[in-house]
Amino acid sequence: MARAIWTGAISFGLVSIPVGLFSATDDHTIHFNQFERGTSDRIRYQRINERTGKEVEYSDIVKGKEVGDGDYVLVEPEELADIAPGRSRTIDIQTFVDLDEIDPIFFQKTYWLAPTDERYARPYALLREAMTRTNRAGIATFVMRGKEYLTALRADGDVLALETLFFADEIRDRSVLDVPGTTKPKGKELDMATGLVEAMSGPWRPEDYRDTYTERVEKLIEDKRRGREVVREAEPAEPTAMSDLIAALERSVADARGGRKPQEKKKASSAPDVPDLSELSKSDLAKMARELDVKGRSSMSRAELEKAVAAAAPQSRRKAS
Amino acid sequence: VTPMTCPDCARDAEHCHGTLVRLADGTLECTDVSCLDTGRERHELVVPALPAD
Repeated sequence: MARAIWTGAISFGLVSIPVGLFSATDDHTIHFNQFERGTSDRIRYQRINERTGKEVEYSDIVKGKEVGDGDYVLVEPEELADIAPGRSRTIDIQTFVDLDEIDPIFFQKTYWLAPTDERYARPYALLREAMTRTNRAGIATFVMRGKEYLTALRADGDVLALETLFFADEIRDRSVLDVPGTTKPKGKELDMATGLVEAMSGPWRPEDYRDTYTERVEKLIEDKRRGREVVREAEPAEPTAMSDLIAALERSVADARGGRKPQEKKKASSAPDVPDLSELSKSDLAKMARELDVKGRSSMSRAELEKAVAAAAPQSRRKAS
Repeated sequence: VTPMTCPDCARDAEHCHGTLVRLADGTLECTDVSCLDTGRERHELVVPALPAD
């Protein structure tokens, strides 16, 4: 069994359930090490005493808070643990709320809780089943490694999940965005957009989505390792002009209802692999231009790219008309 | 002087003795080269990386 990153107890009324806390997610971001350019020398961090220049052991480090004029108050871990709210070793459930009431913006990270011993399996299952039956989450606070966490405990299949939440004052005021336009969309545009949303609706299947950027980083590294040429990604698609909005929506709805994704290219019946250049986005055309080695492609407009690609493409790749 | 013992070591909790360095772009690095998980919850010591004077 994995090692817990924290152990303590869930406090639920007069019931106390000793539990361990485990990460429920993994970050697959590629972590780079740092080197000095032109060398193979690694960059290292060291915790050194500013005065002596000597490295300091973890056990000899205490925390200090500046209180003005270069004066610091030093505190020991035990002193912080003594004043930690929620008795620091306890996840104190203060209230139960409807799970659907919590705006997803508050969710931070998911952990699992597991009883530390078989003896506590019964109260653990009891809390889990009660929350499943009521669709409620227990709101609790606890302290872990010098930080207080606001959390929501919820049932997750056979286990209890703990979601760390942002505190209300950590959520930014959306007015800072200064979103232009106060009129509500209506009429045909809204009907079309609603139709598109419905046509594109489907079940939530997280396994259908992959981190393609990380995959490209991995490929970049592998290509460099093998000494192969590195290929750059095409430019992003251009935003839809307001005058084209209805037309774009109509075409997207038709594509979605036809079982194709809007980005998919229409294929000519006589030549299945030949794209219709007039329907390609600027980024698709830029990609083709790069494959065809069209000179000056980076400064071309979409129309210029279409013309240049049509001229440079072999006969079999042009639109069948 | 009372010798300090890491409470997480005493409890056998999974953690790291490195200092988590929070860079300006939001990325996190650990002073412990063997640390593979830069989760805040695994680290007692966290510092922001500040430009040198």
